[in-house]
Amino acid sequence: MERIYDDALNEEIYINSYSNGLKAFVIKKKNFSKAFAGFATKYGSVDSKFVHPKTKEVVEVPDGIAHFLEHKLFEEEEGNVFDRFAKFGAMANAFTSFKETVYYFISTQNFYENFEILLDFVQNPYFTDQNVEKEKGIIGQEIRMYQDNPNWRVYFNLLNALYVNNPVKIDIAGTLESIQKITKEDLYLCYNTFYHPSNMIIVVCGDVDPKKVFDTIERMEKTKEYQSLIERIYPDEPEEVNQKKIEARLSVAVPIFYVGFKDNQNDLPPYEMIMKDIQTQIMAEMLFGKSTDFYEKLYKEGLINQNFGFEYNCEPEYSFFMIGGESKDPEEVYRRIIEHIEDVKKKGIDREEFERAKKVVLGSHLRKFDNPEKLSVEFIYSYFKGVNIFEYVKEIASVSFEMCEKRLKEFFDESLSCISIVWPAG
Amino acid sequence: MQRKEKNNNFYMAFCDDRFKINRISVTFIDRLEKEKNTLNALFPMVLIRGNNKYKDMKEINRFLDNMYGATLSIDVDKKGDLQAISFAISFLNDRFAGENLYTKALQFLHDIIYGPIKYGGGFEEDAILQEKNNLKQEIESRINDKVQYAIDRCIEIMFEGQNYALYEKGNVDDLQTITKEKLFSQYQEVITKKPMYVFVYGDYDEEWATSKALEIFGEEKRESIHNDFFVNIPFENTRYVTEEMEVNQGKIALGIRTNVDVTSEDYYKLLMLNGILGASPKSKLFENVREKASLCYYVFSRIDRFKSVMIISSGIEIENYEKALNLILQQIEDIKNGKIDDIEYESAINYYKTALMAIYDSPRDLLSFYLNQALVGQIIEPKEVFENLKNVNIEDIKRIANRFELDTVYFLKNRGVAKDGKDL
Repeated sequence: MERIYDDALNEEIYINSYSNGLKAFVIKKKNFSKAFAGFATKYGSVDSKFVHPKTKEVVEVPDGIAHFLEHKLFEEEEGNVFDRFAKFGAMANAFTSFKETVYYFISTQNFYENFEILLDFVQNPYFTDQNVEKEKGIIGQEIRMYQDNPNWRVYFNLLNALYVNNPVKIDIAGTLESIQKITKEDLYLCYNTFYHPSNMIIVVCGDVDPKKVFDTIERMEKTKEYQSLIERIYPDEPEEVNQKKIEARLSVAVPIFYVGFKDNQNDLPPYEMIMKDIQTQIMAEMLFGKSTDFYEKLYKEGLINQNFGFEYNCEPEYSFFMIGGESKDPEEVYRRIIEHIEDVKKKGIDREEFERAKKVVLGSHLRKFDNPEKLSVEFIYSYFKGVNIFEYVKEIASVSFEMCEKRLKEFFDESLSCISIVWPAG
Repeated sequence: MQRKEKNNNFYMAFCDDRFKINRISVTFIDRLEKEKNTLNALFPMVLIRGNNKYKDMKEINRFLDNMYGATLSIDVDKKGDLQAISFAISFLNDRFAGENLYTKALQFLHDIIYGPIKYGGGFEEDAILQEKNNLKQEIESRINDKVQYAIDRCIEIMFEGQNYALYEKGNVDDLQTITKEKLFSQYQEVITKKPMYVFVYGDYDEEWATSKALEIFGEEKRESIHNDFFVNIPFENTRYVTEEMEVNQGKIALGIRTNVDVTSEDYYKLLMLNGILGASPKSKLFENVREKASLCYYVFSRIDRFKSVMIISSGIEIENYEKALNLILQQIEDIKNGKIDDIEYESAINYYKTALMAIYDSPRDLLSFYLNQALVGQIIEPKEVFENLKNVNIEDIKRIANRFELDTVYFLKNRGVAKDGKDL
């Protein structure tokens, strides 16, 4: 058991590694009433093609299978696992994203009893032809619900415009057609591949005893032997964007839009990735933040409203920046964004604005530490991409004005941008 | 907890060193009425456009940025027949900022709210015009979230002609008639005469924090406003309303009169009923409508404490409307007949325990919890709420369920031939 105390953050973290490759982390939160525990696998919607670690054969499975598996793992021979959690008062749930699936609970009582249930059910799949069929109805409704959600639509359409082949463009839940193809056998195959301890981590956050947490894991671990790394197959992705513009019509009052910028500088060593991430966040704050002349001007012209915002996604396989919101004239906003970037590239950035943007980015990272769920989820995301969330706060201070100048020159390239718009229907 | 109440001014401070972010919220309460709900939704939007101290949005946002990315938020909410107009700032704990930010944040919030009066001047014409437009968009954008939209429509139909049917953010027609003078006078009325709740959460001494807040916000005499917690029209028949929109999935919303006095002990029985019916992870709705019948992805029940109303909501395949409705109603029938098993009961009680205790871990949730308590006129702690729930038994729940009246069944379905929201 290893202990790291971060003085500047006033945060404490305990780490333990197991012989089968599993790693566990306890982020200690003194005097919190609730505790979060997450059992996560590095397996998400983008992992539908891979080399089987034992047979060494290339396997390709239907879209939406990671998410389907997430639903099905809650099922047990005797009913479903909620029965057991209900007894000990935990709120249990799970989510699937592009690159990970996380099973978790939040409890304010009986932590260790609940923790055992979590460890147990994630390690005990129970799939039958019948319960797999039944789930297709529920997931079908989930997919339909998202189809009616304009924010989801504009987001996935943007990814479709940005990427030609990268599976990040595929809806996490798959499609109504693809989920029909999923069988019990597919689920077991994916489970046995990706739910191996060497591909998983456990994160606990709360006022718990780290030793007791680690001992419980030791006792409950089913798999003892080590598995070699899983080779995931991603298609080659061209540098350019798939299409410059993508549009849809849905029941919305005002057009919704995102402008995306494709970042081809991926697969960097962890430290460089952190630095790229922070620099981009600071740059974005300086270019488009609420205290910029740009924001004020567009707002006053009635082109954007308070919903205008941006985010940067930085992963080893794909990175992209997106900015948008609601506008009566999304294409004009797109034009202004590009014009503004060119203008700043020409004129250069301002030192005072740089310092202010840095404060904003620092504050927004510190905020994450107040919420055990969000903190743990961030921790998992970062861990699977090879970086530690605790490092971010330290590295923000080390980002220099010159680094940001350089980043601006390299990124935000008009030719690698595109727009996704959802127009009002009818 | 430090608490001061005088002249309908409420001050509450909570001290805690667990968090990196502190929070101050200021809420004004007015009656929710057609003549002013739109004005009350609009003036906060104009206030954050600037005044003579912070001359525009950019200056306001620069101040916030320099406070390590502090955030200022405004919110207009419906609390029964009342409208709550809130301003809140969240900002970094002094320990991480290396300077005292509390007094600065407090003063800033005061400047935002009282700025136009304090720094001599009304609202800027351009800002009003633009925020009218933004509010119009916001009101119209209600259709974007179909789950909430169906619930809102159900309530509007159920309370037709009553104040509770009004949308907290106002309506588009009234926006047209708003003048600069009307807006300013309503704004002044609210911030100087209506009940005010100032709540503070931070890593400070509670007494010191309260006295600072008092010093800046004061405690001049304000009106007192009471809420009417009941549905005050007689029940006749269940209304069934179907509306159409371009959707893929049907949305069903049921509006139920609970006939429970939410200021009485019965409220806790109603809460338990809600947990068993549709709030807890092993609720009857979740188990039977989703898990067993596979009819939906989400289904839940929810209580509006301020109006003794329960809403049930689900998203279903359009042709499954009858099936889903019957199955939902069957769950209520089962409760009326006392068909509640141990696991359902246990799940509900445990669900509330976790949810209530978790409030202590979020300054934002805690402040909003206490505001709601204050508005109901009973200030008790989350853990006391839980103590009250523990005393509820199956007979109590059965009795409460038998008071239920199904008022409105609302169904949002697709327009004509199913359109898939196809990409262009």
